[in-house]
Amino acid sequence: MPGIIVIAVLIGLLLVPVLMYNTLVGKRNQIHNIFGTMDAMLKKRWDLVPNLVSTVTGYADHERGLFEAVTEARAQAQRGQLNEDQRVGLENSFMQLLGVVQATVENYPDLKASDNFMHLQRTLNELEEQISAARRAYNASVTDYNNSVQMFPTNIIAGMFNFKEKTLFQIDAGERENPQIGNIL
Amino acid sequence: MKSYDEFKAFYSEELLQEIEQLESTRGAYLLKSIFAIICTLAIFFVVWILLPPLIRNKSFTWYAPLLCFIFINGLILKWIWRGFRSRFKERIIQKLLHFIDPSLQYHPDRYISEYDFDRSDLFLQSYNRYKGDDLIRGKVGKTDIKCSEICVQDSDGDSTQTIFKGLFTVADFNKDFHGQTLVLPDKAEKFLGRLGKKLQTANPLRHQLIQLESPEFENKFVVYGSDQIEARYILTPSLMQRILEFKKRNKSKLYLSFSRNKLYIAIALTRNLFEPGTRKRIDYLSVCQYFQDLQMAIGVVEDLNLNTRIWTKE
Repeated sequence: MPGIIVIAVLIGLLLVPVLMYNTLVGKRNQIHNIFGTMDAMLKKRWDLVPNLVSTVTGYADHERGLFEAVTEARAQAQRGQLNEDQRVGLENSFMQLLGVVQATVENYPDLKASDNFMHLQRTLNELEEQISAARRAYNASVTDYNNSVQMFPTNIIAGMFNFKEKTLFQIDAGERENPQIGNIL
Repeated sequence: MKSYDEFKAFYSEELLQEIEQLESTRGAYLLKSIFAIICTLAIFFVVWILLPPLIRNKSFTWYAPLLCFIFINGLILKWIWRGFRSRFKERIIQKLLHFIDPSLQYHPDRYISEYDFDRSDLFLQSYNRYKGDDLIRGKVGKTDIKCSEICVQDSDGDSTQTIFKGLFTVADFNKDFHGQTLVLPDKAEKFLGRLGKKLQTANPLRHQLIQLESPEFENKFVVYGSDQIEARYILTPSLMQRILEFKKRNKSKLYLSFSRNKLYIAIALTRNLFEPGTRKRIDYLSVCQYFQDLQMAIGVVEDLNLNTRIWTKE
């Protein structure tokens, strides 16, 4: 009988680290999964740029500088040679540019009322909402993962197998000031 | 939505006369009820007297006829008062609803179907009794809505368990989505803290647990969803705040299901909605309560901002 107890305790001692390791891997994979979805949504938003530019230039031709900046930002994103920080920076400046475009549109009532632009506006709103949801999901899974990396006893396994803390997806001050759909929601 | 000042004016100009007319018939209904009670009491007394003494002295002969008496009397009284009830619904509730929103339709004897109730997936227990009344349906702004009072029970002969009783609403949601997100009252985390949360994570009957950022929302509700991102796409910080305010205002248990592009809302209530009392006269305060209940039923569209259609769904 004592032999069985000793074996059970040993199996338990072996199982606990395995379970902790698997939990950490599961949480890290969830972050990658959500980041992938967010990335797809950000790409979708870039794909709207040609449509946006062609719709708006017809009405507001002398805002050419602004559209060139938007097109250039898209080209940079498509080249894909950016590290994570540069990518976040580019996404943030693109958000700001979109804010400027939307503010500029206010000066062109015909453009604002056009079917094409209204459709585009709805699609952009939809994507903004989905990107915002993906960011929140990403941050929730990063917080969950970081808690496991920092808290005892999983921090021991995290240290042994080099599970590093992840950074939250934060918006910068410029984006916070953006006159976006946030007021309407 | 109508303000209380508008309601007061409507009450004195349109409803008061109707209420007085209806109340003038109450005496006749009361007399019929008293007569019916006396008659059934007399019948049961005679039946009990005629029973052989051997049976009469058994203990069950005391309460069995009494239970029969109460049950049969209940049915008779319901039958007697149905005229009063239907006139009340036609003249008071129908008018009140028309005052709040003339485009809405009212069907006093119809209710939300079992099909809709089941599709919400809010309550997983099996049931064998489903009834309801007071169906309201129509379009509030851009949003299709229908709601009614329902009572869902499971009875095995000896005991009856109420699974849900209250107001059940089905509304068109203002965003497109594919999965399912459920917002349920939080019991486990409230009483068991972190252990409760662990138990919720391991709930095999529901989708994955969604942990949202708002501590107040997390304290009041537990959220399960088929997709972490979609759940947050639906439950924006603004909608979470609106749900919290809606709960605070109505002080009732609240269940929400976002499923098949629709929003299903179940508000648990102990009182019967839109029913006239048999003893208490209809007065300003009781009509005020009907008005509040109707506002609660229809106001969900405005309260949860369902008419905002700035996304791809029109």
